[in-house]
Amino acid sequence: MNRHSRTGLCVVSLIIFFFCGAVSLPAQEFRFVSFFDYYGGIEPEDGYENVRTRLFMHPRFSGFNTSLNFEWVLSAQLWAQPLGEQYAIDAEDILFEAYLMFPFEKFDFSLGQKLVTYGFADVYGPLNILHSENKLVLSLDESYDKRRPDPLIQIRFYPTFEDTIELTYVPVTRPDRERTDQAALPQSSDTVVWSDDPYITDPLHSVFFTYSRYGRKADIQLLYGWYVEHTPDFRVPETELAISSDITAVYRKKHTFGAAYSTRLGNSTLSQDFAFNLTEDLSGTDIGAQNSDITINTQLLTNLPADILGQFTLVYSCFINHDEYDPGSDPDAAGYLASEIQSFHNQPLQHIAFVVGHFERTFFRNRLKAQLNTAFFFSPKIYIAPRFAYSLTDYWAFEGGADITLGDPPDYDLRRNPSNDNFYVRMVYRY
Amino acid sequence: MRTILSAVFLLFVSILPLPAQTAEEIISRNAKTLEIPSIQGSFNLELISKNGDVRKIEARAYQKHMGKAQNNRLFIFDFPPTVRGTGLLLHSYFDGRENNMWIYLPAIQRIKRIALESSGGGYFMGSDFTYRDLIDNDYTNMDIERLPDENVDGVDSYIVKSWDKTLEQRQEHGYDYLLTYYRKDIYMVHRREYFDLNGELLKVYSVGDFLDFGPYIYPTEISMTNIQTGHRSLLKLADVSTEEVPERYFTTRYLQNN
Repeated sequence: MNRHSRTGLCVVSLIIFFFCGAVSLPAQEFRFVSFFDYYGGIEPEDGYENVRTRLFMHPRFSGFNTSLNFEWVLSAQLWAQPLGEQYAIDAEDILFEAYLMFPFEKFDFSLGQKLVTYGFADVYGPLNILHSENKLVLSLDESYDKRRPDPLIQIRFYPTFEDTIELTYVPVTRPDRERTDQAALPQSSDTVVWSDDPYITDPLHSVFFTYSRYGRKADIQLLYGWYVEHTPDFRVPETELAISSDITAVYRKKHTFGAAYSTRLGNSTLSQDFAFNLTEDLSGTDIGAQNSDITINTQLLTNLPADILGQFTLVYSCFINHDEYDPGSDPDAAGYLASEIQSFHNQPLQHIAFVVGHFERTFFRNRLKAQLNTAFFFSPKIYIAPRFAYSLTDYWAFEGGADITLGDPPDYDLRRNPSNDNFYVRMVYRY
Repeated sequence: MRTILSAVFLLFVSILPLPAQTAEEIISRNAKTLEIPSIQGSFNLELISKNGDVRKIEARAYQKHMGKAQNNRLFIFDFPPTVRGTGLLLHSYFDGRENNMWIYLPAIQRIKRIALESSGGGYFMGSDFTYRDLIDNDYTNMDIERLPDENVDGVDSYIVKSWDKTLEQRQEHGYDYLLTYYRKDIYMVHRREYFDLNGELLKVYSVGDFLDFGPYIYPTEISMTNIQTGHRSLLKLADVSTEEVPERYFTTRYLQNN
């Protein structure tokens, strides 16, 4: 465990201690999740390798102060790799949710570091934009160490029992967790230098406005966000092979106009999230910038034969002014750079679409849960991720799974995740 | 002479059978006993497997009648830890409208609209109760028939057979028909038998204990036994209160802030 992590642990412990001591807590609750897991690499080309071990803890305290009428939540996230190369969570990531929520008759007011979820799609939801993510996860459905809460001020107004109007202000947010080592781009003689700042201080200020209605026939949500994008753009000084330069990560603001609905469709639930993302580079001429896009996520949750719960997700994106960058005097190097950066931004083509299938069935009275996640990218590249979780007791569970992508792994130099096919086993304790 | 005639008339009247109650009337009388404006309590569910292995589920349960045609229910799960904080909100209707169901999943902090009650296989938290079983039957979509009365489990009972009007509905719910046994004295359902799509007995619902609140009756101990698998689920309601449950409890706001 590094020095920053130890310091962070001490800080969090002190916060928890003083928070609990200072507040009268007639209604306290404590939840705790801890696990040890191991990931092994099984990419055929690479052979077997130890990828990661992780000792993880997530304590969560909460309560309601009846005399002052507020709810409080304080939680932390801690992990360390005890075997192999020793490293641990960054100190600034240890404090997880920590906020106060004041409920009034017609509105709630929240202040602190909190997770907020938008849209109805729970896989690749284009409206779920508020928080940064860990882009280095080994499993796409990693739920323990993926999203990071942000400091915010939030007002939720409830004009009726069905309607909610929400305004959220985030003064400063974090960048996505990206690789920290420099990335060499040999075909343009450049080097990408990542920012290691824990917070994005330029630009500041993000605002999100939503209207939600949970009605009898359908749920709807309208969203507008003007916010700091957590995924970096790149400042590319030049695009010639003959000139070496450092490409730096820069963070920019973005507008998202969104709408979503969810309704019952026979024996299923249909939801669709629509997002129009407007970046600063609407013309698409900046080779290092994200393109504006329109993304639609369609999700169908249904009961399949043999008691299988199925969820099918179709994601379609259209990137506006794709490939409109200036090729300059070295089109080959510029094309290579564009390809690397577009791939990094998940904008490799003007139109992309993929289907994600999730199938789930429980056995032995929910003691064993088996899942299969698949993703089809309309190409030979198919992602297959089987999962199982067996409850040994009410508190202990043994989990496992694998993440396998058919075909060879991509060879992009800016690729985030160095690992390829893998499997994992995990012993989890929940309280 | 007039006295004799009156006596003969009274005797004649007294030996006539009481007016026969129709199945609709029995169901209606039963429905009235369940129209408790509000009820809440601790919901304890034991899942008992054939070999005696027991798993427990604990939740807080709230129910409120919203007029004649709507019943709202809310479950907030406290145990086991895998489901702690999960909330389930049900708005069920008795006038043919489709039911609404939302689930709050704390792990992803998201409210999802679901339609699991349509599935015969959609078992509630691994129990022998399906999500559909948690919702009162909407008899507007069912055909009903009164069968001859019987004494069942030592209780004089009216028996009503009911089945969904269409094959599609029967397949959705997973039942061919139900036999419901009503106590003659208080019109409470004390037993219900569920027959699968092959007409074989699948499950038996049985009330072990109940609370009598004057005109209202509420079962507080219910077992559901799957005859075909040997599984059994025992549901007990404790700390029952009929204090008014605020309407705001049955909203998505409360669901995620519970």
